[in-house]
Amino acid sequence: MTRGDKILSVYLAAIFVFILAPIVTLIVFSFNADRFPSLPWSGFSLEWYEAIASDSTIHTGFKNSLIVAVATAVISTILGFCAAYTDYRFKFFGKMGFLALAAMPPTVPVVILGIANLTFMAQINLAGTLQAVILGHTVYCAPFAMALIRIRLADLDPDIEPAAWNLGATRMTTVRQVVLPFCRPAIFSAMAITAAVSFDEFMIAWFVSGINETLPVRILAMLQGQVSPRINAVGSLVFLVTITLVLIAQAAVYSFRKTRRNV
Amino acid sequence: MSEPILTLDAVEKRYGADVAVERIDLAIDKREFIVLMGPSGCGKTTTLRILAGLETPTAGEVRLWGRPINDVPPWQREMPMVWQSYALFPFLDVRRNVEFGLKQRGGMSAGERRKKALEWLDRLGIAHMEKRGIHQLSGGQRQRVALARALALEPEVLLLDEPLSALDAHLRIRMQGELSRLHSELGITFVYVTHAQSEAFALADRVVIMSEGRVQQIGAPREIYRAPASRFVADFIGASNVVGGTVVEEKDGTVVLETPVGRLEATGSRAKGAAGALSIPADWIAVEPAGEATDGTAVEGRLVTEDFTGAVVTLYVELHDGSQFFVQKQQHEIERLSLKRGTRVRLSWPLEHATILPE
Repeated sequence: MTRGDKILSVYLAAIFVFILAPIVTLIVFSFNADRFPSLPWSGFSLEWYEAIASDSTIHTGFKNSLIVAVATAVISTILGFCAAYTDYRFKFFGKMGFLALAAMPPTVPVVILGIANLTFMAQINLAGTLQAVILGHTVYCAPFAMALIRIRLADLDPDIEPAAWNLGATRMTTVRQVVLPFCRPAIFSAMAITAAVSFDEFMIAWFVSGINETLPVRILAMLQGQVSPRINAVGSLVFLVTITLVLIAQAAVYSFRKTRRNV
Repeated sequence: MSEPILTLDAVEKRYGADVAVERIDLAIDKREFIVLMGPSGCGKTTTLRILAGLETPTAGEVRLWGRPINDVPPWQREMPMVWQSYALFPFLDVRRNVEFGLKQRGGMSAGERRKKALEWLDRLGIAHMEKRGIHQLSGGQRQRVALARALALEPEVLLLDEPLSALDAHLRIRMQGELSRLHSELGITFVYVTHAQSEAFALADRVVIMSEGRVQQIGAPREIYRAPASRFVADFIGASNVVGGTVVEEKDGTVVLETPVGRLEATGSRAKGAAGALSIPADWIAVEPAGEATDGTAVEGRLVTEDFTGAVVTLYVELHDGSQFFVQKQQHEIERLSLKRGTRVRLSWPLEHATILPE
């Protein structure tokens, strides 16, 4: 190891400590017997996990978040695929505008997106429903799915589809038998990522969920009431779900490699 | 003559103001091996894609056995293509790639498809690779899979778009032989696009030379080689020396041209005073030590370089006006001359091989 390598490793370690310290703290104190997050640790306990396990508002929040995450993942990925494929296959006037528009939602501050969603959902009588949260999250998540699938499509030899047509496959069949199988890793990855984003998302959910609280909204409500170590336990669970989804997405991306063009 | 299998009737393809194919008339016979050749951008690939139905002509008509097929979508044409990039399906193994077309056509059980695919893989010598992924194959093996995939459909017409250009020289020659063999064994029509003259001349029954969206010449390789129909073709083939000039005399099928390298004679006819170009095949030129006077079928110059590729030697000779002639000879033919760079030589040729190029 050269001196430069050492400095680089230390630097990298410092970054990870900086990023992970709060999360590690959260997880560590979720198992602390004491109700105050202070050192020294007063002993291992599952008390706070037992407490949330018997809390029905957390059950409902978790269930809501799960429903919203799954629905959002499916709808966003379908929309994202359609947008990415449109970009890949067709040339048309205003394509740049179309792409900019399709990629825009995550660039809008979420507070604004939340308020806009609330106003719109109220107009169409959906405010306060889970459907509204799903719609809001889909708007926010579809661009991520589109981006992931576009990256994959960029590796699809432009001759592949015409080759399938040439061998007797109609356009629809080609999408089903050639494009979708090729995009499969990106589609899995997009579903996992959008589910993770949705599961975590607080702002839009807070504006439009009403009484149908998702887990992050429930957590804030708990925080506003009293600081309880139960929050550490819920937070740890949310982290576990999210990091699992992200790892799934990573694994899917990793499996891209084998079928990259010109490999 | 029997009815052509494919006819291109005044076919044109424009992209806005750009013309890819200006106007092509071409009749392709059954069992013919036809090669479209030209520099890049000449419209040869566009023409092939028009045949495959991947491009729609902006004017003219494409007919298969006399039936117009302009509006037939690519998936109904049954004219499989071998792609320059191979365009194999990366997520399917070798055998499933070959089965793809059969599966689309339907009417075959999975077992029959498998059998047929293996037959073709066997025919191309890669049956033992049926379970490999595409990414595990070399360029030559991919090429064979691409051929098997197209041929498994047992089509009447096979389209090939620069199929050998991605292979190294050695493999290219082998695949060339293989293609030739397949063509004669299968008795189907091959329409082949390339920019490589060696491929075109080695494989084709007829070569179509294209430039700027137009057909420059159609003919058997020998015909094109010996009698290029235009200055473009002569330059493109690169087998002849082309000299431009003005006709100063004309009589009995011979003309005399005033050119920058002197007065030269050529066979053909052209009105006095007209511009013309004369073509002298490089392998018909004799090389002697300078000395004898030059005349209408000889020039004198200084040897600049020689290019030695095995048995054939190309000599480059600079004439007094600075232009160059090239001469192709067998190594043993020029050995006795003991030529050195700078040696003055006399180049002469039989009059009947100096032809005036059609305008």
